[in-house]
Amino acid sequence: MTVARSRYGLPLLARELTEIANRRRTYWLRGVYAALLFLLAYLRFYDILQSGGGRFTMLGRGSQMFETLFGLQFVGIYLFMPIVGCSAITHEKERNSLSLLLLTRLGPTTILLEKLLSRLVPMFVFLLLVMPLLAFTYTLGGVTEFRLWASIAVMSLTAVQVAALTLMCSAYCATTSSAFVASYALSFASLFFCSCCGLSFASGPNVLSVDNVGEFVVRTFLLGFSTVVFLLLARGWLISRAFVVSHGALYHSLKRLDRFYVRKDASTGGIVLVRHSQSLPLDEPIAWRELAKSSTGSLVRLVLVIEVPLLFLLTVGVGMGSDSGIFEFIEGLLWVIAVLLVVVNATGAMSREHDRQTMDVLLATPLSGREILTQKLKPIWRLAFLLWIPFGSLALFRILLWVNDGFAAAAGLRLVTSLVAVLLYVPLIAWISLWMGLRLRSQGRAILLTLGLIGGWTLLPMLLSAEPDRFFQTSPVEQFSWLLFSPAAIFRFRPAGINFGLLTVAIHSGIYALFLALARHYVLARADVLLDRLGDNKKQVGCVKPPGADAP
Amino acid sequence: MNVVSIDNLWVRYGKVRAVRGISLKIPKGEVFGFIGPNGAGKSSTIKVLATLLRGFGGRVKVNGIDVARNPSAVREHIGYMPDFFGVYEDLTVREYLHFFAAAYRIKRNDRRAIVTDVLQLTDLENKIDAPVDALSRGMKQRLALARVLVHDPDLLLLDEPASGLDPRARIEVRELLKALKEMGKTILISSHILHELSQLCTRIGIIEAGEMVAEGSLDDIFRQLKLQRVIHVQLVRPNDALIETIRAIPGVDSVDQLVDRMAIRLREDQMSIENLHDRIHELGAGIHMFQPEAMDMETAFMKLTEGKTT
Repeated sequence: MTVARSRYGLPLLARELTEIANRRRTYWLRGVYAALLFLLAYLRFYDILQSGGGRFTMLGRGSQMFETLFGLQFVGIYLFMPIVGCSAITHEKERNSLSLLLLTRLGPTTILLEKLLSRLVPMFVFLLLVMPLLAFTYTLGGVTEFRLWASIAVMSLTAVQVAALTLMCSAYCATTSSAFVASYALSFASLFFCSCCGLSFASGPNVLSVDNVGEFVVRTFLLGFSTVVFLLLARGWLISRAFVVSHGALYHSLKRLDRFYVRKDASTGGIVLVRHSQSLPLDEPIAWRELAKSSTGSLVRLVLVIEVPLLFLLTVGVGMGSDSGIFEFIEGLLWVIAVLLVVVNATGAMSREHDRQTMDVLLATPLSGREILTQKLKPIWRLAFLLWIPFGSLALFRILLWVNDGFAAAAGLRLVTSLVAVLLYVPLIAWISLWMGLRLRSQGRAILLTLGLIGGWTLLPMLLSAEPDRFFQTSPVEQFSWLLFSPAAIFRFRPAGINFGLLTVAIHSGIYALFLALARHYVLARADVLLDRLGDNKKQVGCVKPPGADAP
Repeated sequence: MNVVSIDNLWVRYGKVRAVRGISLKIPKGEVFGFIGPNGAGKSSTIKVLATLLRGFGGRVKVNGIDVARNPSAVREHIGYMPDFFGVYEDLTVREYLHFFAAAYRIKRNDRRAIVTDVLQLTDLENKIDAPVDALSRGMKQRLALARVLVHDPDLLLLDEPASGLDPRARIEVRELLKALKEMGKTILISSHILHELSQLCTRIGIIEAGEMVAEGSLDDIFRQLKLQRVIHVQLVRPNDALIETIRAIPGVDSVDQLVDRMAIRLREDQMSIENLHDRIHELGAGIHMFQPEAMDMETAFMKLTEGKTT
C-alpha cells in the first residue's frame, strides 16, 4: 500500500492542499464568496418572487432563478479563479523551488496537473455552495433534468478552462503580480470573445444554462479544446520560462521592436521605445531609479497599450450613439485597468525591495521613512498624470455626443468630473495600496485585500442606495449621501438625472479630497513604523525597553 | 573614545530571545570579530547598531549617539553591509554608487571624485559602466564594500562579508578589509571563516545562544581557555636524550616526534614561546627551524560553544 502510494500518490497536490488549508485567506475568500452569492441571489429572488400575483404564480419561476444562479456562478468563476490560481507556478519561481521540482521524478505534466487540481479543489468547494439554492429553484419547477446536469457540467468545465488559462499565465510570467494581471486580462478577453460568439452569459439572458444536446456538445467541445490548448502552452512555458527574469512580455516585445527599428534605421529614423535614462541621480535617488528604470507610466507604452485600442472603441461608440451604454462600458473598463495598474505597482513598491534584498541597505541610509515612501510613489503620480490622456479622450468623445444631444453644460461638467476623479482616486488608491503592501509584506495578499476593499467600498453604497426599501426606508437625501460615499457614484450622475450638478460634484470631490489627505497623512506619519525601522519620532523611544527590563 | 558602546542588549522575536544581555565596547580603530554559530545573535546585534531593529532592550550608542533616540544621526556614522549583496541589478556600477551618494546627501560636486576613489580602493575601476548583474559574486561583494565607503563612515558593520565567495574572492575581500583597517576605520565584522578573522581582528567576541561566552584578543582567549600552543621544531642533530630533556622543561606538555621535525605542545600560561626557544638553545641544541603554529581559533570556538541556538 505504501509502495503504491509512493509510486502513484500526488505529493505536490497533497502539499498544495495542505498549504491552502493552512492559509487564513482561504477561509476569508470562501466566506466572502458565500456572502456575496447568497446576498445577490436573495436580491434577485426577491425581485422574481415579488413580480407575480398569487402563491401559485411562483411555480415555474425556477427557470429564471436557475439562470440567475448560473450567472452568479460564472461571474464567481471569472472573478475568483484568477486570484486562486495565478500564484500556482510563479510562487515556485519566486521561492526558487521550481528548478528543484523539475529535477524530481514528477515530470512537467504531472506537476502541471497536480497544480491544476490543487486550484480546482477550492474552486469546486465554492461552486458547491450553490447547491442549496439550486435545490430550491428545482423544486419551483421550470428546469428539466437534462438542463440541470448539462449546465452543471458546462459550469465545471468553465472552471477547468479558466484554471488552465490562469495556470498558463502563471507558467509564462515571472512574478505573481504580473500573472495576476495577465490572468484577469486574458480571462476577460476570452469572455469577450465567447460573448461575441454567443457562448457565454455575457451574450444574453437566455444562454446561461444549457438547454439542448447540440448546444451542450458545441460548448463542451470549445471549452475542452481551449483547456487543452492552454495546458499545452503551460507545459511548454513551465520549462522554457522556468528561470525567466521579471521584465514583462511588453518590455521584451518593445525591445524586439527596438531591435527591428535599429535594423531598419534608414526607414524608421532609429525610433527607440525602451530608452533607459543615462542621467545620474541628483537629490531624490529612489525617485530617480523608479522613474528611470521602471516602465510604470511610460508615455509610449500607455499610448500603445491603452490609447490606440481606446480610440478605436470610441470611434465605434460614436457610431452606436450615447444611449448604447458603450461609453459606460469603456469608462468602467478604463477604471478597472487603472485600478489594477495602480494597485499592483503601489503594493509592490516596497515588497520589490524585499525580494531584491535591498531593503536593509536602503533603510540604513539617512533617508527618512517619509522621503523613501514619497519617492517610491513618484512613478504612480506620473502614471496618474498620463491616465488623463485616455480619460480625457473618453470625456471629449462623450462631450461631442452630448453637445449634439443638447446637454452642453452637463458635458463640460462631465469632463471636469472625469479629470477630478483621476486626480483624487488614483492617489487615494495608491496610498491605500502602499499601506496594504507595507502592512502585509506579501504582495499577493496586499493586492487581494486592496481590490476587495476598493470593490466593497465602491459597490456596497451603490447597492444599498439602489435597493433602499429592502434594507431600511430612506429618504432621497439619505440615498444621496449613500451615493456620495461610493467612488463610483460620481459616474451615476447623468445629464438627464436630478442629482447631476456642480454642487454634487464639488461635495463628492471634497469628501474624497479629505479621504486622500487623511490616507496620505496616516501613511507618512507612520512611515518608519511601517518600514519596520527605528524612527526619530519621540513616541517610539517608549518601545525600546530600559536596560535589563527583559532580563529573567 | 568608544565608537561602539553596547550595554546589556536584549533582542526578542516573539517568544525567542535572540540576544541576552550582551555588553561590549569597541574603541576607535579597532577591528572587532563577532563569531558564533548560526542563530547565535550576531546579525541581530549588528542590525540593532544599523538602526534596523525597533524592539530591543538596553543602551546602544554609536560615537556617543543613542541608537534608540537619534537613529537618523547614527545612520550618518555607519556603513552597513548585510549578509546578502543588496545590490540593484538593473543599475550600472556608476549609477549604483551615485544612487547611494545621493542617498547619503553627499554634495553633487564631490560625488564623481568619491565614486572614483572607492572604485579604485575596491579595484573595480574598469567595471564602472558594467551592469551590476554582470558582475561576479566577488565583484558584487567588493561593490557592496565600495557602497559602504561612499560617505566615509566611522564605523563599518559587516555581516558575513566573505560568505559564499570562492577562495580568491575571499582573499581579495580580506585584503580590502586589511586596507580599511590600516586607514583607521572601526570595523565590526561577523564571520564563520575563523582563521580569516584571526588574521584581521584586534579583538574577538564569541557569541552563543545570544550570550557572549568569551571576549578579548586571541591571546587572551587562549589564555582564558588554557589552550596549548603547538610549536614545530627542527634540530640539527636530535637524539633521544635531548628530546627527553626538552620533554622535562616545565610548561612543555608533550613532544611528538615526526619524520622531519618534532611538535612541542606548550602551556603558554606557564612558559612563553620566547623562553622555550632560549631553553632549547641553552641545552646546546642547534635549531634549524622554530615555528609556532598560528592560534587555532577553530579549536577555541569548538571548546567555547556547544552548537546551541536561541
